[in-house]
Amino acid sequence: MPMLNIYVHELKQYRISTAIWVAVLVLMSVVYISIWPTFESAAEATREIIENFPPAFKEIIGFSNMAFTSLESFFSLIFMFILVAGGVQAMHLGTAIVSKESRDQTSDFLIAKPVSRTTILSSKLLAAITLLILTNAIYISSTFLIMSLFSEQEIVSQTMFMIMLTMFFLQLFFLALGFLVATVRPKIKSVIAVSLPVVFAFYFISILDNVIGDTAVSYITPFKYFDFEYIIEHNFYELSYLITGAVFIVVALVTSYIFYVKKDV
Amino acid sequence: MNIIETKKLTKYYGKDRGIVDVDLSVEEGEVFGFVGPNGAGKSTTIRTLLSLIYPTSGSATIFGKDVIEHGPEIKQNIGYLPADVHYYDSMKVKSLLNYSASFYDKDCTKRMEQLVKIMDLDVNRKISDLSLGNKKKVGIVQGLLHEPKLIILDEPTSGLDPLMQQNFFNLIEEENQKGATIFFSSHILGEVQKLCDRVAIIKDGKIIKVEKVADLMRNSYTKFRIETKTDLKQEDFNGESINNFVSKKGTTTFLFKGDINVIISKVSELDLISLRIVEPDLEEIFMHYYRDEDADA
Repeated sequence: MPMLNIYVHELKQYRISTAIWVAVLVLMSVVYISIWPTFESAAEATREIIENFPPAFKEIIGFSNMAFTSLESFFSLIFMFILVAGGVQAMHLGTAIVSKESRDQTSDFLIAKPVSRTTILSSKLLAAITLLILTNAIYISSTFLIMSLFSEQEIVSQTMFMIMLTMFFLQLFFLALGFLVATVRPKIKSVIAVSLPVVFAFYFISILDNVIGDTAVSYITPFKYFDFEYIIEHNFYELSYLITGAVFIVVALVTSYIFYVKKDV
Repeated sequence: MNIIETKKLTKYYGKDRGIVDVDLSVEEGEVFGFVGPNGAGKSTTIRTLLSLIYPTSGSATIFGKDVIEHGPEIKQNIGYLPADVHYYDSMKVKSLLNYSASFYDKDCTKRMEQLVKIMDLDVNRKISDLSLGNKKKVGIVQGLLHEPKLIILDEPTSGLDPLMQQNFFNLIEEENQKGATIFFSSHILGEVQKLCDRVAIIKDGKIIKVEKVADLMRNSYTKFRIETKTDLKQEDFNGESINNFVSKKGTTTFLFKGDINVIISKVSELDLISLRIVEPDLEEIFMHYYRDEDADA
């Protein structure tokens, strides 16, 4: 059972960094969507240019022939970068919320209190998930607002929502990974030195998979779990990836608990 | 019932020795000192009692309950002051104390305010702005605000000025009179002597002696430091119980145990430049214990 006081304490500890992340994500949306009207008016010409790009190049940067025909597909191009940023946020949060106590040597204080380690970790997990839900809620609603300001087209809200919600799933993946790394590794000196390379490594694996087109590799990286074209077409996610992600999250979290409970602090 | 009881408590950090076969029993209402040089295993023992670390073998109980199985439950009644105090830097003292209080099943507000007053602590300052001494005060308040039945102190006085040390000792004595049991590690003999009923002496991870403080002091040595024009020989004090005899460049030091009148009359026959008689430090008392251990073996 999580404890309310730890939960509230953790929310307070990470409110400012979360606010900064939200601001960065929203700003990325603003900048990107604000250039959409230019493409919208010259959609036909742009599409011809894209079609003439070498196929390999298009694979690497993730451009499809559908890009620039609608705001949804235009948005999904940049959204990959927002996903990377969101992934870093979640990985950073997950690693920090668990490892900070031992780095700042506050574990002695916390663990000497009448509270079990399972409770401590559950409270932290719940606080982190709350912060990520807030991040996504604010990000998604702001992006809808920005789109309504810049686009003349009717937006397919459900598709848009489905695309943006993938960030939350991806963040849960990296949050769980952050928990795992922070509990398994004895001492983490710098959180950013762990979270940044890990998220980028997963991102580069996804690019590699774009190039070689091997489906087995795509199960390794959460950046491949959500194909935006598929979402635009089917209005749903690919179940096999969703299940893979869920299994990973559960396994990572269970392992984290096992390590955290047995760890010497 | 013993408040603390350990049975063959052993902790290795990988291959490195922490503590080996530590058997301790601390009775209710006692002030129990735990002394030994740095690295002897004092903190390891304490951290095992609080299940911050887990023993390699052996077991420990507090209030008759296993420290691992019933950790959260018994910690409702334990107050702990760690050797190194570290708290959340971004918090104010007040929020930290409230956070600390929020873990206990009772209202700690009143006692918290009293303690803040006694320790003369400014609760509106940020933790990161505090000196070591002030952080220690925060540590004392957060460790005592729930009026615990067992108070565990790991090197509590380092960083406190003498006036605050006195306040702190008074506080501990008060808590003890109200019925709290105190377990207290230190490498300063003076502290232990002032406060404790019994002490356990730990060296290289092993308990080498558990003794009443009164006995420890009675049996302990007095240190002489004599300056003379010529070097002295141990034979000059023939027949007296003298240890650690060193004489160099006119300065002679030794430890003496026995009738103080006899040694004083012998010293008075010397042509002295200076004479100092001091309490030996803890290390030297340990030396005498090791010798006893060796003699027994």
